[in-house]
Amino acid sequence: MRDVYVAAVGMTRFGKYPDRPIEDMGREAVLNAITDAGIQRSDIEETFCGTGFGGPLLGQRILRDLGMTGRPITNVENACSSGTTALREGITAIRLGRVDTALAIGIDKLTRFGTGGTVPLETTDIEVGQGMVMPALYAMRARRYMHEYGATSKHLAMVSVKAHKNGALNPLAQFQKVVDLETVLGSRMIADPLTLYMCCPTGDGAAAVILTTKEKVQQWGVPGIKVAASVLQSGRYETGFRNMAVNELTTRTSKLAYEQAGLGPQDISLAEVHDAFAIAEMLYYEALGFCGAGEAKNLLERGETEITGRIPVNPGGGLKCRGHPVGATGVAQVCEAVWQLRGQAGQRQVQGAKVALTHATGGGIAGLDHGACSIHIFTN
Amino acid sequence: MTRVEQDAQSAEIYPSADAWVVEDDKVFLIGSRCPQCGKHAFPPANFCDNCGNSAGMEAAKLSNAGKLYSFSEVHVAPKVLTTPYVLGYVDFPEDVRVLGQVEHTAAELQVDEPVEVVLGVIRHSADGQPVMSYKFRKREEG
Repeated sequence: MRDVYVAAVGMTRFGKYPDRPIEDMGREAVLNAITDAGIQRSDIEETFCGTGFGGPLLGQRILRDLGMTGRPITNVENACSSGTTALREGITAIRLGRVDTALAIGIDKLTRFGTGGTVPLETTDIEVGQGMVMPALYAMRARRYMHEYGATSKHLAMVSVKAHKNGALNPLAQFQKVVDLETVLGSRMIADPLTLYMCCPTGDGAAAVILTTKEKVQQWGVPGIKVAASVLQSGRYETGFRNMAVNELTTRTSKLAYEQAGLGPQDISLAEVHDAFAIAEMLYYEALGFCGAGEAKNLLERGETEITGRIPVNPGGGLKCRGHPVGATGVAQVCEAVWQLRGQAGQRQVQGAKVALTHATGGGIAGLDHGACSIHIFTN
Repeated sequence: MTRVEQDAQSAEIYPSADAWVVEDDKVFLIGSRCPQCGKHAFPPANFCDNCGNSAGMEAAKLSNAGKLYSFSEVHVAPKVLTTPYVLGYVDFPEDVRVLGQVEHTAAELQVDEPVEVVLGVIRHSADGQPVMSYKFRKREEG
């Protein structure tokens, strides 16, 4: 199989843009990526567009006005992993030699459902029928995790404080404001023990990545970031007991990703993980192998996941502060990973970053940890 | 017909009236059991995800009580739900986990405590009708 490189990235600033057409956000991200590569629109041979709620033919709706239709466009939906599922399809198309250059887009506009509240879930689901909402699922994980390992709400708040500290350094983040522990703990309750500041916001945005071969990267004279691993898994069905203090899906996916990259958790310079809710980031420290079971609180207390720490997590502000337009998130994580590996991350730069991991997972469905999980590893 | 009977008549049942039976004032959820490997499921399955059997599952009455694995008091939800309400995962002895609303505040509950199945209103339909389903309540002593 051929090696695949990220030649260019681009995204919009995430936020709430109820009056802006989703297609327009998509075009901004695509044009930013094309400008970043310094190539022609016609160099894109195939496009994959991931969206959770953007509706039918979104790739065509975005590319039509740019004169980029006529070639293969595939639209994919995989909840929070929609964007990186599209990315994986682009990587696969190049690995297998079908095309040399592919475009992956991640995009969503959640303000179409109103400017706040929980994301809509499939009403035929038995748990949704009983009143399940995404914050409640994570809240139940949090309660069980805290029960098992003696973590407290303060640790959850520390995750949010770190996200805000990093988000304040990211000009493309939805929230760019530092907050303290008291503000996080004192904000209104969403699903106990999760307060408002422990939950990611809803919002709108788009991100795009141009993938190509080693030859093209050299020809274009761009800094190629190598794709060392691209893995997608789905949740396993469990009708009985499930340990909610451990995330089986992310653990399994990360093992496959490390294997594909020939690397381990100790090699990761920084990680962009799916902190939809504060407890998620703690669970994923453990699932990604950055620490042992129940040790996430120690990482937080020692500042090891800060930008200056041993294993910086979410230097871009995470879903909490960059924002979480569902389908866009995974591709935005890749943008951050690429900027970090190129040394272009400005004030939030992780010094000497060599290997970056991105992790996008989600989707509420009864009996599964989550619908999908995708992990990518990049090296410079 | 009394007022209470009229309310019960007009209430919508979720997910369906055959999801439980009431015997001696106790509510039992009706799940399924695979005749080949014995695995239980709720809601009832048509196929066994464990052994691959697709030749028809048997109806199986679950125990009327289980252990509260985790719970949360929910304050933000779609309009058909009345906040706050408490959601919890309950593990039944048949190795079946069921999500349902719990008739207590979060402060009254503890992880791993025994709860039993009861019936009650879980939300209202779009036209304002009460929707009735199984719920959980702390198990009465003795």
